[in-house]
Amino acid sequence: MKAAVIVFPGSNRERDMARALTLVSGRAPTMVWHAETELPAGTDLVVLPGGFSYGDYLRCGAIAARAPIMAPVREHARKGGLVIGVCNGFQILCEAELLPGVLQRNASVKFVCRDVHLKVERSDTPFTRGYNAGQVIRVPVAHGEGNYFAGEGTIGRLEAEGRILFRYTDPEGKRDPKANVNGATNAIAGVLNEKLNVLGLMPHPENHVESVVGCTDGRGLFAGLVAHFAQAA
Amino acid sequence: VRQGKVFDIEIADGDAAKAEATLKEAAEKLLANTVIENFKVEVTGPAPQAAPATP
Repeated sequence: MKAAVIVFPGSNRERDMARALTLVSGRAPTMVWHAETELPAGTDLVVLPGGFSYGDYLRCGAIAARAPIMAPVREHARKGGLVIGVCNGFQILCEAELLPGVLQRNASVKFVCRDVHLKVERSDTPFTRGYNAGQVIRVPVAHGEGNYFAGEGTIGRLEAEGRILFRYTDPEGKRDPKANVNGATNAIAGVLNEKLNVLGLMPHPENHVESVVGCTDGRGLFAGLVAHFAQAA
Repeated sequence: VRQGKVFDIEIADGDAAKAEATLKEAAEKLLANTVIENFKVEVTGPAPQAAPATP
Protein backbone atom coordinates (compact mmCIF):
# COMPACT_ATOMS: atom_id res chain seq x y z
CA MET A 1 0.00 0.00 0.00
CA LYS A 2 1.56 3.26 -1.16
CA ALA A 3 0.29 5.99 1.11
CA ALA A 4 0.89 9.74 0.94
CA VAL A 5 0.39 11.91 4.03
CA ILE A 6 -0.20 15.55 3.19
CA VAL A 7 1.56 18.04 5.46
CA PHE A 8 0.13 21.56 5.78
CA PRO A 9 1.65 24.36 7.82
CA GLY A 10 0.08 23.68 11.22
CA SER A 11 -0.54 19.94 10.73
CA ASN A 12 0.51 18.21 13.96
CA ARG A 13 -0.70 14.61 13.71
CA GLU A 14 1.11 13.65 10.53
CA ARG A 15 3.80 11.72 12.37
CA ASP A 16 1.30 9.69 14.40
CA MET A 17 -0.37 8.87 11.10
CA ALA A 18 2.93 7.93 9.42
CA ARG A 19 3.85 5.74 12.39
CA ALA A 20 0.52 3.89 12.29
CA LEU A 21 0.70 3.40 8.50
CA THR A 22 4.29 2.10 8.74
CA LEU A 23 3.52 -0.25 11.64
CA VAL A 24 0.46 -1.81 10.09
CA SER A 25 1.37 -1.81 6.38
CA GLY A 26 5.13 -2.34 6.73
CA ARG A 27 5.77 0.53 4.39
CA ALA A 28 6.44 4.15 5.34
CA PRO A 29 4.19 6.69 3.64
CA THR A 30 5.57 9.58 1.61
CA MET A 31 5.17 12.91 3.36
CA VAL A 32 3.92 15.43 0.81
CA TRP A 33 4.16 19.17 1.42
CA HIS A 34 1.03 21.25 0.75
CA ALA A 35 2.75 23.38 -1.89
CA GLU A 36 3.44 20.38 -4.14
CA THR A 37 1.37 20.16 -7.31
CA GLU A 38 1.43 16.40 -7.74
CA LEU A 39 1.19 13.22 -5.69
CA PRO A 40 3.96 10.58 -5.85
CA ALA A 41 3.37 8.25 -8.82
CA GLY A 42 1.32 5.18 -7.92
CA THR A 43 -0.18 6.61 -4.72
CA ASP A 44 -2.95 4.29 -3.48
CA LEU A 45 -4.09 6.20 -0.44
CA VAL A 46 -4.00 9.90 0.43
CA VAL A 47 -4.25 10.88 4.09
CA LEU A 48 -5.00 14.37 5.38
CA PRO A 49 -3.86 14.33 9.02
CA GLY A 50 -5.08 16.24 12.06
CA GLY A 51 -3.80 19.55 13.33
CA PHE A 52 -4.52 23.21 12.85
CA SER A 53 -3.67 23.81 9.21
CA TYR A 54 -2.95 27.47 8.55
CA GLY A 55 -3.71 28.16 12.21
CA ASP A 56 -7.43 27.53 11.57
CA TYR A 57 -7.58 31.06 10.15
CA LEU A 58 -10.89 32.07 8.56
CA ARG A 59 -12.46 28.64 9.33
CA CYS A 60 -10.99 25.21 10.17
CA GLY A 61 -9.64 23.69 6.98
CA ALA A 62 -10.79 26.56 4.77
CA ILE A 63 -7.37 27.68 3.56
CA ALA A 64 -5.87 24.18 3.37
CA ALA A 65 -8.77 23.18 1.11
CA ARG A 66 -7.44 25.68 -1.44
CA ALA A 67 -3.75 24.65 -1.16
CA PRO A 68 -1.96 23.62 -4.40
CA ILE A 69 -1.77 19.93 -3.39
CA MET A 70 -5.56 19.74 -3.19
CA ALA A 71 -5.89 19.80 -6.99
CA PRO A 72 -4.13 16.42 -7.41
CA VAL A 73 -5.90 15.10 -4.29
CA ARG A 74 -9.21 16.02 -5.89
CA GLU A 75 -8.14 14.32 -9.11
CA HIS A 76 -7.06 11.20 -7.18
CA ALA A 77 -10.52 11.08 -5.56
CA ARG A 78 -12.27 11.68 -8.88
CA LYS A 79 -10.49 8.66 -10.36
CA GLY A 80 -11.70 6.52 -7.45
CA GLY A 81 -8.50 6.66 -5.38
CA LEU A 82 -8.91 6.37 -1.62
CA VAL A 83 -8.69 9.46 0.59
CA ILE A 84 -8.95 9.68 4.39
CA GLY A 85 -9.19 12.90 6.36
CA VAL A 86 -8.86 12.65 10.13
CA CYS A 87 -9.93 15.50 12.40
CA ASN A 88 -8.56 18.64 10.71
CA GLY A 89 -8.30 16.47 7.58
CA PHE A 90 -12.06 15.86 7.80
CA GLN A 91 -12.63 19.60 8.12
CA ILE A 92 -10.44 20.15 5.04
CA LEU A 93 -12.37 17.56 3.00
CA CYS A 94 -15.66 19.29 3.87
CA GLU A 95 -14.26 22.71 3.00
CA ALA A 96 -12.95 21.26 -0.28
CA GLU A 97 -16.47 19.93 -0.94
CA LEU A 98 -15.09 16.43 -1.36
CA LEU A 99 -17.48 15.58 1.48
CA PRO A 100 -20.81 17.24 2.27
CA GLY A 101 -21.55 19.23 5.42
CA VAL A 102 -19.43 21.15 7.86
CA LEU A 103 -17.84 20.68 11.29
CA GLN A 104 -19.20 23.26 13.68
CA ARG A 105 -18.02 24.20 17.14
CA ASN A 106 -18.70 21.45 19.69
CA ALA A 107 -22.12 21.79 21.31
CA SER A 108 -20.34 22.09 24.69
CA VAL A 109 -18.29 25.02 23.28
CA LYS A 110 -15.27 23.27 24.81
CA PHE A 111 -12.30 21.45 23.34
CA VAL A 112 -12.79 17.74 24.03
CA CYS A 113 -9.88 15.32 24.40
CA ARG A 114 -10.76 11.79 25.49
CA ASP A 115 -11.54 8.28 24.31
CA VAL A 116 -14.90 7.71 22.65
CA HIS A 117 -16.78 4.65 21.44
CA LEU A 118 -17.68 4.37 17.79
CA LYS A 119 -20.06 1.99 16.13
CA VAL A 120 -18.80 0.76 12.78
CA GLU A 121 -21.96 0.94 10.68
CA ARG A 122 -20.83 -1.27 7.80
CA SER A 123 -17.86 -3.45 7.00
CA ASP A 124 -18.17 -3.61 3.20
CA THR A 125 -15.93 -0.61 2.50
CA PRO A 126 -12.15 -0.54 2.01
CA PHE A 127 -11.91 1.48 5.22
CA THR A 128 -13.83 -0.90 7.46
CA ARG A 129 -13.25 -4.37 6.07
CA GLY A 130 -10.98 -4.96 9.07
CA TYR A 131 -14.05 -4.69 11.33
CA ASN A 132 -17.45 -6.35 11.62
CA ALA A 133 -20.56 -4.33 10.91
CA GLY A 134 -21.98 -3.18 14.22
CA GLN A 135 -18.67 -3.59 16.04
CA VAL A 136 -17.87 -0.96 18.67
CA ILE A 137 -14.33 0.41 18.80
CA ARG A 138 -12.63 2.74 21.26
CA VAL A 139 -10.50 5.57 19.85
CA PRO A 140 -9.52 9.04 21.04
CA VAL A 141 -10.90 12.40 19.92
CA ALA A 142 -9.20 15.78 20.36
CA HIS A 143 -11.06 18.67 18.82
CA GLY A 144 -12.94 21.90 19.40
CA GLU A 145 -14.93 21.82 16.18
CA GLY A 146 -16.22 18.36 15.41
CA ASN A 147 -19.96 18.89 15.54
CA TYR A 148 -21.03 17.53 12.16
CA PHE A 149 -23.83 19.43 10.51
CA ALA A 150 -25.50 19.29 7.11
CA GLY A 151 -28.91 20.28 5.79
CA GLU A 152 -31.81 17.90 6.39
CA GLY A 153 -31.85 16.76 2.78
CA THR A 154 -28.15 15.92 2.90
CA ILE A 155 -28.45 14.04 6.19
CA GLY A 156 -31.39 12.07 4.79
CA ARG A 157 -29.36 11.14 1.73
CA LEU A 158 -26.31 10.13 3.82
CA GLU A 159 -28.52 7.87 5.95
CA ALA A 160 -30.38 6.35 3.01
CA GLU A 161 -27.19 5.68 1.04
CA GLY A 162 -25.35 4.14 3.99
CA ARG A 163 -22.70 6.82 3.93
CA ILE A 164 -22.44 7.24 7.68
CA LEU A 165 -19.56 4.95 8.51
CA PHE A 166 -18.92 5.73 12.20
CA ARG A 167 -21.28 6.96 14.91
CA TYR A 168 -20.65 7.99 18.53
CA THR A 169 -22.30 5.46 20.82
CA ASP A 170 -21.99 4.04 24.33
CA PRO A 171 -19.66 1.02 24.85
CA GLU A 172 -22.54 -1.30 23.86
CA GLY A 173 -23.14 0.45 20.56
CA LYS A 174 -26.31 2.21 21.65
CA ARG A 175 -27.04 5.82 20.76
CA ASP A 176 -26.77 8.00 23.84
CA PRO A 177 -26.76 11.80 23.91
CA LYS A 178 -24.01 11.60 26.55
CA ALA A 179 -21.83 9.58 24.16
CA ASN A 180 -22.21 12.14 21.38
CA VAL A 181 -19.10 14.10 22.44
CA ASN A 182 -19.61 17.11 20.21
CA GLY A 183 -23.35 17.17 19.56
CA ALA A 184 -23.02 15.98 15.95
CA THR A 185 -26.22 15.56 13.93
CA ASN A 186 -27.36 11.91 14.22
CA ALA A 187 -24.15 11.27 16.25
CA ILE A 188 -22.14 11.25 13.03
CA ALA A 189 -18.42 10.67 13.60
CA GLY A 190 -17.40 9.68 10.06
CA VAL A 191 -18.93 10.02 6.60
CA LEU A 192 -18.24 8.79 3.08
CA ASN A 193 -18.64 10.54 -0.26
CA GLU A 194 -21.06 9.29 -2.90
CA LYS A 195 -18.57 6.87 -4.48
CA LEU A 196 -17.51 5.56 -1.03
CA ASN A 197 -13.81 6.27 -1.71
CA VAL A 198 -13.40 9.40 0.43
CA LEU A 199 -13.75 9.12 4.22
CA GLY A 200 -13.71 11.89 6.80
CA LEU A 201 -13.78 11.19 10.54
CA MET A 202 -13.13 13.25 13.66
CA PRO A 203 -11.64 10.52 15.93
CA HIS A 204 -8.03 9.37 15.67
CA PRO A 205 -7.74 5.63 14.89
CA GLU A 206 -4.01 6.19 14.26
CA ASN A 207 -3.50 6.68 18.00
CA HIS A 208 -4.84 3.24 18.95
CA VAL A 209 -2.66 0.86 16.99
CA GLU A 210 -0.12 -0.24 19.62
CA SER A 211 -0.78 -2.32 22.74
CA VAL A 212 1.66 -0.13 24.68
CA VAL A 213 -0.98 2.63 24.74
CA GLY A 214 -3.58 0.20 26.04
CA CYS A 215 -5.81 -0.23 23.00
CA THR A 216 -5.42 -1.36 19.42
CA ASP A 217 -8.95 -0.79 18.18
CA GLY A 218 -7.76 1.65 15.50
CA ARG A 219 -5.62 -0.98 13.84
CA GLY A 220 -8.53 -2.53 11.94
CA LEU A 221 -8.87 0.53 9.73
CA PHE A 222 -5.27 0.30 8.51
CA ALA A 223 -5.23 -3.50 8.37
CA GLY A 224 -8.41 -3.39 6.30
CA LEU A 225 -6.84 -0.98 3.84
CA VAL A 226 -3.75 -3.18 3.53
CA ALA A 227 -5.99 -6.19 2.81
CA HIS A 228 -7.96 -4.13 0.29
CA PHE A 229 -4.86 -3.20 -1.71
CA ALA A 230 -3.31 -6.67 -1.39
CA GLN A 231 -6.47 -8.12 -2.92
CA ALA A 232 -6.55 -5.47 -5.67
CA ALA A 233 -2.91 -6.17 -6.62
CA VAL B 1 -28.09 36.85 18.58
CA ARG B 2 -26.36 37.09 15.23
CA GLN B 3 -22.69 36.44 14.92
CA GLY B 4 -20.57 36.94 11.86
CA LYS B 5 -17.51 38.39 10.24
CA VAL B 6 -16.98 41.61 8.33
CA PHE B 7 -14.28 41.86 5.69
CA ASP B 8 -13.20 45.32 4.53
CA ILE B 9 -11.64 44.77 1.12
CA GLU B 10 -10.07 47.42 -1.08
CA ILE B 11 -10.09 46.79 -4.81
CA ALA B 12 -7.81 48.72 -7.16
CA ASP B 13 -10.27 48.67 -10.08
CA GLY B 14 -12.75 51.59 -9.77
CA ASP B 15 -15.68 49.83 -11.52
CA ALA B 16 -18.35 49.18 -8.86
CA ALA B 17 -20.21 46.46 -10.79
CA LYS B 18 -17.00 44.57 -11.46
CA ALA B 19 -15.92 44.96 -7.85
CA GLU B 20 -19.22 43.55 -6.65
CA ALA B 21 -18.94 40.53 -8.96
CA THR B 22 -15.38 39.87 -7.81
CA LEU B 23 -16.35 40.13 -4.14
CA LYS B 24 -19.38 37.87 -4.58
CA GLU B 25 -17.15 35.26 -6.14
CA ALA B 26 -14.62 35.60 -3.30
CA ALA B 27 -17.40 35.20 -0.73
CA GLU B 28 -18.84 32.14 -2.42
CA LYS B 29 -15.48 30.48 -3.01
CA LEU B 30 -13.71 31.18 0.26
CA LEU B 31 -14.89 33.87 2.66
CA ALA B 32 -18.21 32.24 3.57
CA ASN B 33 -19.11 28.58 4.06
CA THR B 34 -22.53 28.59 2.48
CA VAL B 35 -23.54 25.35 4.23
CA ILE B 36 -24.04 27.37 7.41
CA GLU B 37 -23.39 31.00 6.50
CA ASN B 38 -24.93 33.57 4.20
CA PHE B 39 -23.30 36.78 3.05
CA LYS B 40 -24.00 40.26 1.81
CA VAL B 41 -21.70 42.32 -0.38
CA GLU B 42 -21.80 46.10 -0.17
CA VAL B 43 -19.74 48.38 -2.41
CA THR B 44 -19.21 51.63 -0.58
CA GLY B 45 -17.53 53.68 -3.31
CA PRO B 46 -13.99 54.87 -3.75
CA ALA B 47 -11.65 54.61 -0.82
CA PRO B 48 -10.67 57.88 0.84
CA GLN B 49 -7.36 59.33 -0.32
CA ALA B 50 -4.52 58.16 1.84
CA ALA B 51 -3.58 60.82 4.37
CA PRO B 52 -0.26 62.49 3.60
CA ALA B 53 2.55 60.98 5.57
CA THR B 54 3.33 62.99 8.67
CA PRO B 55 6.85 64.30 8.67
